[in-house]
Amino acid sequence: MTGDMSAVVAQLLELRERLAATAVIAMRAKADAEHGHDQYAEAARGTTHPRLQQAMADMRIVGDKSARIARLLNKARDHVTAYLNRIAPGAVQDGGSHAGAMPTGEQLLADAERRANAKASVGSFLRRAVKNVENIQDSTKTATELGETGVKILRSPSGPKGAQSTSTTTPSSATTVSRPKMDVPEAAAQIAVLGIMTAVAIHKTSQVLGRTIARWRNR
Amino acid sequence: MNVNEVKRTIRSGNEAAAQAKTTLGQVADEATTTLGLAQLTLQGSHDDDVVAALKIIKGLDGEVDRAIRRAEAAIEHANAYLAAIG
Amino acid sequence: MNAQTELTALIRALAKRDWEAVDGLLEELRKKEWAGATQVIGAAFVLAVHRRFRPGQDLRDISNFVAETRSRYEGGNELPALAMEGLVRAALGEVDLMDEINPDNYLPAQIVILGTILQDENLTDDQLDEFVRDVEEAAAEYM
Repeated sequence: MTGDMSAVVAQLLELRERLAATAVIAMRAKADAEHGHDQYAEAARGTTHPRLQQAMADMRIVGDKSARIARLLNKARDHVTAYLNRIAPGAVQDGGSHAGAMPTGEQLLADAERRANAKASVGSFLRRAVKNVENIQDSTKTATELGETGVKILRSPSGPKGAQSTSTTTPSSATTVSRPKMDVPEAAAQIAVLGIMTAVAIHKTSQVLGRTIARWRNR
Repeated sequence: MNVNEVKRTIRSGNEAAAQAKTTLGQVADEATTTLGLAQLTLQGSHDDDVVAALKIIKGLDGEVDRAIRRAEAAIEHANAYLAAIG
Repeated sequence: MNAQTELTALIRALAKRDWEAVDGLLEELRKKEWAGATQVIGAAFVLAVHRRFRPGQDLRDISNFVAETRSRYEGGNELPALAMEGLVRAALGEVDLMDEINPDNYLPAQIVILGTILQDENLTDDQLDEFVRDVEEAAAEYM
C-alpha cells in the first residue's frame, strides 16, 4: 500500500455508509409496496377479479424484491467491511453492524474493555519511558528536535515522483495521487483526473447521472 | 364497501405503488453513486471480497429496474380493474 | 511549566490533518521545549495502539503495519523499523522491550504511529474529544 492508503480507507468507510443508507431506502420501498398491497387487498375483499389479484401479487413481488435489494446492499457492505478489516484493522468502528442497528451490548462492552485495558497499560509504559529518557547518556537531541522530526515525517506522504508535498514550510492538505484508468462515468473520471478526489464530488456527479437515468426510466 | 370506496382504496393502492417506484428510483440513484465510488476506490483489486462487492453493486441497477417495472405492472392491472368496475 | 495543552491540541490537529493549526502549535511548543511530551505523547501513543491492536496480536500484523507506515511517508525510513515494532509491542504490554530502543526514537516514532492510526480511523469530533480526555487523564499521574 502506498501513501494514499488513508484516502482509500476514508473512501471505503464512506462506501460502507452509503451502502447502509441505501439499504434503509430499499426497506422504505418495501414498506411502500406492502402498503400498496394492503390497499389492493382491502379493495379485493369479496371479489376474486383476476386483475386485482394480479395487482396484489405484483405488489407482493415488489416488496420481496425491495427486501432482497436491501439484503444485497448489506451483503456488499459486509464484503467491504471484510476487506477493510484486512487492509486497515481497526478502521471499522461499528463492528460491521447492519444499517439501523444500535451498537449491541456486546460491542459496547468490548469497547469499554478495550479502553480500560488501554488505560491500564499506560502506567507501566510511561514509567519506563520517563526512566529511560531521563537516563539517556549520550543524546544531543532535544525534545523539540525529536518532536518536530516526527511531525515533519507525518506531513510528507510519499507519492508519485514529482508530486511530493514539502514538509514544515508548506502546509499540505491533499495527497496528490495517480490513479489507474477506470471504467466509470465520464464525468466522474474527469474529476478523478484532477487529482483531488473527494467522495462528495463523485457523489454529486453520480447523483446527476442517476437522476437522468431515473427520469428516463420513469417516463 | 361500495363501489366508490373500492375505487378510492384502489387509487390509494396506486399511490403507494407509485411511491414505491419513486423510492426505488432513489435506490437506483444511490446505487449509481456507490458504484462510481466503489469502482474509483477498488479498481484493479482482485481481492475476493472486493470482486464480490463490485458484482453485487453492479447488479443492483437491474434488480431495481425489475422491481420498478413490477410496480408499474401492478398499477396497470389496478387501473384495468378500475375501468372494469366503471 | 508543561505544554500539556499544546501537546493534546497537537494530537487533535494531527488527527485532523489541520496543518495550519499544527504550525501554530509547533511555535508554542518550541517556546515550551515540548515539556511533558514523554508523558502526553506516550499516553496518546499507548491509547492509539490499543485502538488498532490487541494485546497478544500476531507479530506479523505489527510488522506489516510498521512496514506499511514507513512506506507511507517520505521520511519513513528515518525511523528504525525494529524501534517502531518494539514500541507498539511495549504499548501492548511488553514494556521491557523499551530498554532495547534508543530513547531518542521514542518521540518521533510515537508521533508518526499515533498520527497514522488516528488519521486512518477518521474519528468524529466527539470521538476525538473522548480520546483526548482519556490521554489527559492517563498522562496526568505521570507529569
